[in-house]
Amino acid sequence: MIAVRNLTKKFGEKVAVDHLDLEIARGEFFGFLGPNGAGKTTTIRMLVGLSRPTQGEIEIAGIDLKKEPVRAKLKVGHVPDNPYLYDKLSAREFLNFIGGLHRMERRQIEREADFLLDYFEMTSWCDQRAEGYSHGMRQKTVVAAALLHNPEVIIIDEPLTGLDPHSGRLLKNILKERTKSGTTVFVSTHILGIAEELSDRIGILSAGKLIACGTAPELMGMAVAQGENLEGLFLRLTRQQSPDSVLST
Amino acid sequence: MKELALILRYKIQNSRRGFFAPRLENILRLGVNLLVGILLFAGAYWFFHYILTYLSGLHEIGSLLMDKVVSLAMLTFFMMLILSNLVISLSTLFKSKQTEFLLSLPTEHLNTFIARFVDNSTYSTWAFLFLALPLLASYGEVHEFRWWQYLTLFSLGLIPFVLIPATLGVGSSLLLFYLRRFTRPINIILPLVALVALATWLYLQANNPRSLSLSSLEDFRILNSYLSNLKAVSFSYMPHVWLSEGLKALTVRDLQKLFVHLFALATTTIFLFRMLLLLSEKIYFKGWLASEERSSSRKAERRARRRKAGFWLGFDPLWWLPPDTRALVVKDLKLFVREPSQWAQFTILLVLLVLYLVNLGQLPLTFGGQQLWETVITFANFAFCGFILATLAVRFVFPSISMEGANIWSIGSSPLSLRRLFWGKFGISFVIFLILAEILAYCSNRMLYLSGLMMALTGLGIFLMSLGLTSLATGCGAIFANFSERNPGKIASSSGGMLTAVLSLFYVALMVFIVAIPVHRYTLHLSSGLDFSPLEVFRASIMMLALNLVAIFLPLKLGLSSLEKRSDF
Repeated sequence: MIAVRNLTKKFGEKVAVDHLDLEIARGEFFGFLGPNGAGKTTTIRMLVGLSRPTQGEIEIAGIDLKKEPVRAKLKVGHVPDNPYLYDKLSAREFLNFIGGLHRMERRQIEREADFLLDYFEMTSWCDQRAEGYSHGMRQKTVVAAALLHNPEVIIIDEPLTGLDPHSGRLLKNILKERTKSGTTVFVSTHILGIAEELSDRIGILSAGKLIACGTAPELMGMAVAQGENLEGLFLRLTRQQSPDSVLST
Repeated sequence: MKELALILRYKIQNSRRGFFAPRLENILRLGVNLLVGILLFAGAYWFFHYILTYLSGLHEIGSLLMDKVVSLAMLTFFMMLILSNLVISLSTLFKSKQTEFLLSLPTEHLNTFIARFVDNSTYSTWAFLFLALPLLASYGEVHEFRWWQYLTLFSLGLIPFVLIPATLGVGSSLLLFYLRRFTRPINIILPLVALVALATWLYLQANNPRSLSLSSLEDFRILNSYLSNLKAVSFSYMPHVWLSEGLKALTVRDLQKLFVHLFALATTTIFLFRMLLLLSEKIYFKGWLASEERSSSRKAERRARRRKAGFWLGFDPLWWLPPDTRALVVKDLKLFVREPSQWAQFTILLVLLVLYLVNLGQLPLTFGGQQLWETVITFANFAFCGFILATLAVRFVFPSISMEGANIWSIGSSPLSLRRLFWGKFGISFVIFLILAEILAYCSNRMLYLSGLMMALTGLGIFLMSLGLTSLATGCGAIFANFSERNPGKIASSSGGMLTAVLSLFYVALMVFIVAIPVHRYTLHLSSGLDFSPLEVFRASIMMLALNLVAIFLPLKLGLSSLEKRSDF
């Protein structure tokens, strides 16, 4: 469903993403892990067409993103790390707008919007303007907008930003539910727990390179073999010192 | 097309609600904006009507001069609109969260471009309309226009006239971003300076002020030669000429000539807009990507190298400031330099000032002992300097406290008190302001060949105005601080900013009035022995002192107390 081949992004001399190869299947939940500055957000920006690769190809649902960006974007629901909302529009109006751009029928937009707003417990707020929303409510609105058109691929950068534990659980559940109906979910996160709990496969990115990729049990197996947990493995692979050892030195 | 209509519909809905929301705060803001708008419009209408009526009363040459004034005003507007569209495109078409959001949607990039082009043209043009509409309306009034003439002028003349510079400005910005030339201050300053130099050259070619000396005004042979000279150097292929010629044709109801000029405006607009769309299809997204992906790492490396090498050999030009104030000043200066929309607008204002000074230098003004003219010109210049300072204060000083924005917590929770922050902002603004203002006053006074007394008086007046305007803008900026808005342009055009603009202009007008009257009477006393009592100077001094006490201390006191009472950081 998502095919990335030899993807490279350079900013001047700095290589942000270095010859990345990924194949993510239909209905797969892919966790994309990496320390700050590893190139996760740059990869996501390339996947949604907001940045052009220096080298390499991206296919979304079999569509070449470079050749047919609009068709590819129709298949994607995207939640950026720092989303934009029109402050004077309500959540419902924002969903109507996004639905219109995804060429959905009016009735279909209403039905999906009702469902999602109710699901994310936004019904009592959905007709108020976004300028009065909390950080979490804005995040829920943007997530609802990304899910509205039942995309074949959902790409989320830091999904739990601003969400309380209950809303976080709602989001995790609906994402997992969508994968069962064939939607591919690509989640970039710092939080190992989310990746471990939800992901079918986890990819670890460091300095722009994919340094490990496998299912959670496979990665756990690697960790246990070294007498570590997943966090220890992550720190070792990304060549970061354990915070405990930093303190002791 | 359907998607573009959808984007525009929701954007209009979003903007409309910003203006017409039925909440007390919004109603107040709308009320203040309307009041200020009406006052500005009425003031400009009165001013233009006065000038044009005076010119129309001059036999034989009146209408020629009137048309020339309108044509020159239109040329100035035209160049200003190009610059304004170019600079504002930085924060609408490129460095904008909204643009990024629209580009991530499943719609052609062209739709995003057109939607943001509409925003860009609106933001760049609305202020121009506050000057152009009263000018054209008073022109129509003097020529007793009927409704259809106004309708033709505004719909078929003014709209294309505004769109042509919009396409040129935005087209230039597309090219600059595409060529990756729009990422460093020098790369934007150079094109701006080049554009202004071109504008100056066009202006001087069209106006040829050296051929007109104020003392020779009564000599009709010289004036006739000046006017025929003007005709010879008119640029027939410039849109401002088409609009001015169209206006003339409209006045005499020469429909054939009117059609030719309006047709030229319309076809040029359509042609340029089509070209812009083609250009945007080819390069807009590439330029946008370049603006997002410029190598910040190279800059960081340069910065690190400079730091390691001990930039300025360890010399700190701000060593005399307390460490916390120094940190604040350094932070403000760095943020200013790294925010393209800030320094781009500042550059425009500076080059306009240079343009003004170049113009003064071109006018061979000699007063020949005519004290009236010396006083008029001196105080016209004084008022102009005040107007420029008021504009700078509202645009750059007023937003300075709000610009602490989401990071106000870092100051609110630091040992730097809000009082110190407030005085720091005031101090930086005042020093920069004073230097700029005194340079401007000195240069313009030198070019006007003013006497020592006038130079000293205006120097003192400018010092007081710098202090008064900085206090007003800093104080009001603290009273109307908006920590959730990041765009300084929007902060300056908020209701608080508009109110500050009105207060500042009112203050400048009062200052000019209070100083000009006794000075004029004194110069008349020297030249023609008119009665003059030293009491008049005393009275003016008291009035000026009172005005400045109010303008300096009241806003500072209210602003500081308002900032200290705030709890919404």
